[in-house]
Amino acid sequence: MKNRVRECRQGLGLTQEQLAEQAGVSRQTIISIEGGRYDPSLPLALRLARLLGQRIEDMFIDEEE
Amino acid sequence: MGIFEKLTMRRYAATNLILGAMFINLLLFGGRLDMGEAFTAGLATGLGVGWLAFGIIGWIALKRPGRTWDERTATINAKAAAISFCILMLAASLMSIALRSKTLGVEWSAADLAGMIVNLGLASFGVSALIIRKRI
Repeated sequence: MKNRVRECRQGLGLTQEQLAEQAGVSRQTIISIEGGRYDPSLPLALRLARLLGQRIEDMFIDEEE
Repeated sequence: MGIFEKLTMRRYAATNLILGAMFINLLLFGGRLDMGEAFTAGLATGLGVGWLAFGIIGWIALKRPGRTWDERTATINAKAAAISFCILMLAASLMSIALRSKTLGVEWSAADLAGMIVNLGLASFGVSALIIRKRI
């Protein structure tokens, strides 16, 4: 699954550490999500979308679509 | 491992108390079980290191929730546990054949076998977790 987490985070001027702190996860988890190596659970995806001011469907894109 | 997810100061203190009591008991009374000096020392070292690791990781988990334990860590541990279980089952099934075979003549005591299972379980879990951590 593709995502726009890095793009949205950088747009808001947040560091990975700051986003991780606000989302309640480790910085390594944010790195893995941004790198596309880890797909977050629905609750975490919703939390990230809310923190980055996006709709979840705009933030996470199914590659098959 | 999920203990870090919902760790409170009370649970942290209680777990430290239990681990501490186990460690001190082993130091005081381990010799009386006559398990062998090297084995008792190894067991005490393992328990002591485990207590220390819980103390440090637990403290970080209390002060910075999500830093030591989050859903990615849970995924890594779940996958590593599944791989470790498969390896253990394979080893146990092969060992049950080898130990019964009169041709192979493997003579392991129950203590050797129990030790092998524990060590293989820990090692396969550790190695699997390290590999998965690199991949996700």
